[in-house]
Amino acid sequence: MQNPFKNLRTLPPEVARDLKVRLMLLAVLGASVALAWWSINRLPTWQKKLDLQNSQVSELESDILKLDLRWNAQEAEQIAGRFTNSYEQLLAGRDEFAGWQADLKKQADQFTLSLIPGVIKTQDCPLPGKRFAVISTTVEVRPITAGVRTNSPYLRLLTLTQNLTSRKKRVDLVELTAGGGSNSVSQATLALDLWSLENLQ
Amino acid sequence: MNETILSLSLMNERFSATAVHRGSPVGNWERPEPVTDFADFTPALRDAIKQTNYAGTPATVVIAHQRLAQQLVETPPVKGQNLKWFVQRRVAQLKPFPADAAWSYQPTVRTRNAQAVLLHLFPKPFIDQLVQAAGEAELKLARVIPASAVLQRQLAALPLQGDEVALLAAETGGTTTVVIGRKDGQIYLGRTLSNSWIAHADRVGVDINRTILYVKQQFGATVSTVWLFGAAAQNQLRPLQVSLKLPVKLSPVEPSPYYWNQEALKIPADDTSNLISSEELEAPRRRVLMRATSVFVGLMALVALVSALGVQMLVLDRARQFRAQQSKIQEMQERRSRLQTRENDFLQQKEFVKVVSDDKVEPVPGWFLGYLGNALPTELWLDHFQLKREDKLWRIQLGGMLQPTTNAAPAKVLAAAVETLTNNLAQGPFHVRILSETNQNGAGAQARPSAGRPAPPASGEPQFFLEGVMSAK
Repeated sequence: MQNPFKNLRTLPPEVARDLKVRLMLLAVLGASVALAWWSINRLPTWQKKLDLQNSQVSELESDILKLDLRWNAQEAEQIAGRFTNSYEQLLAGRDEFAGWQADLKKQADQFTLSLIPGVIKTQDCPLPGKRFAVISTTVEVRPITAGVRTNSPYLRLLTLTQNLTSRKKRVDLVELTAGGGSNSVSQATLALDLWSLENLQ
Repeated sequence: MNETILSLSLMNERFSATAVHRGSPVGNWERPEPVTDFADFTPALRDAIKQTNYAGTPATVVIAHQRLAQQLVETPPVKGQNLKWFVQRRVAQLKPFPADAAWSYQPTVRTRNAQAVLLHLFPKPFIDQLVQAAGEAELKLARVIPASAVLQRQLAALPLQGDEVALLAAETGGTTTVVIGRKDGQIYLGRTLSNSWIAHADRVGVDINRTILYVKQQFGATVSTVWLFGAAAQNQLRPLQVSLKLPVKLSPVEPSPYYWNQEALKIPADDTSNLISSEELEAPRRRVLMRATSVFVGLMALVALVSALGVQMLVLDRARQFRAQQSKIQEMQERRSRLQTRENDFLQQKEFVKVVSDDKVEPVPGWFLGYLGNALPTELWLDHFQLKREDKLWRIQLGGMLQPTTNAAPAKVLAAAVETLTNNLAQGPFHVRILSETNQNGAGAQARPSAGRPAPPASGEPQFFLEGVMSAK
């Protein structure tokens, strides 16, 4: 096939110059159209960005307003206080559990106490990285017969149960079984759940 | 032909003009002095305009000149633009002068070998001078035609037979222009001989003879007659006939100083013999168009630049807004995050408090054990007590016996005491709902047996056993 540009080289200089000028004009025209096209197409892109941003701002404003309206400073203060109290009700770990056992034995009030550890159940905690551990413990109580008692075993058992549950740490008395005769308690079994707070592994 | 034009002829140094107004000749003028140099052409043109009262701008020139050369060029079987390109490439090889060549061509009869054209070559600087001079005289020179192209038309006026080949020679002011052709106007060759029969008749005879032989050689055509036209032709009939050994006749066309001017007007506009190229002819229009296009493109570019600038300013404004908004969004996101964290912390604490404090199991067994001290009738004593939390209920088991009594109907006493007990439990602060009640050796409804129930004593004393539930709340 014949080279189509071969004939261009043989064009008269004026024609070749004209051709070059035309090509240059065409290039300028093309560049102008491209520039205008590119320029005009930039605006919608920016407008779209701004619209998106405005909707984002509206959404954020709405969220912030909702969060502000929902907030009750008084309730929050109250909960914060109760939270501190609740936190202090939980055993911090096994050492504290051992201390609790020793303390319980000191308050036996002429009873012999046997502590039988049970299962430890875990429960989800709302605080991040924490969980509840509920330690089930059975306490078997028998009165000591020797000596003179000022209070009946019934009253002492009553006092013991009240002491157990009214202490600062959370101890749930979930079962109380007692047996005995007239005006006496020969044996009692207390099922307790002690609450402690553990870190998640 | 209905045009207004100034038709000029420049036969070497002889210059004449014919003004035509709307197709009618309105004035003829022949310059008495010769035009010796193209540099003096402008005054000659101004004189012609003045003398012929020409009022238009278009002009045409028939030219015969010592430097006007012809070449027979064989071409491939192409025509139109391709033929033009082919001839253009040959021009550079064939021109007999170093300057750029202005060229034109006339189609000829086919040679023995190929299609052919008669190529006219003339130094382009001369043509440029003519065009420039015309411009200076406020004329627009549209055509420069070789004399042979005009002379070709005279062939039709000769009394020739159908295929008869004739040579027509014309005196053109110091040179002799020759065409060989047929009556139908087709030519074999055209030449400008550098001599005129007025000065050198013998040399003209030799050149004509050579021309005839060349045509014989190239085309295989035999010239049968020679015709003379122009000044002093009558005197050359006899000598040339002797020299050429052919019949030499006088052309029937009457010579006149304005013959060339008038005949040039009859050449069609699309004739290829014009030495001014179509590109040069269209150059002014092209320049105007180019200028208009340049202005348009410049305006477009300007509009594009202005729009780009405007858009750029808008974009910058949008970008500034975007940045400002972005920092605002960042602040708002941080604020929302803080509020969200605050609320999450609050909800976590609230849930924690609920689980640890609000859902704490109340010490019901202790309370109930204390309450029993008051609620238990004195006729009864307990030997079994159980209070156990099951889901949201406390399950109660109470078992015992009647205190020793002297009553003759202990069963009734037991029943009454148990009824009192159940009433106290049901109506008391704990709202115990009795599920079953068993009185041994006494009246009472037998209820469902219960698991974990203690075995009754072997003594056979009246006994009771109650089972019930109460809400954990």
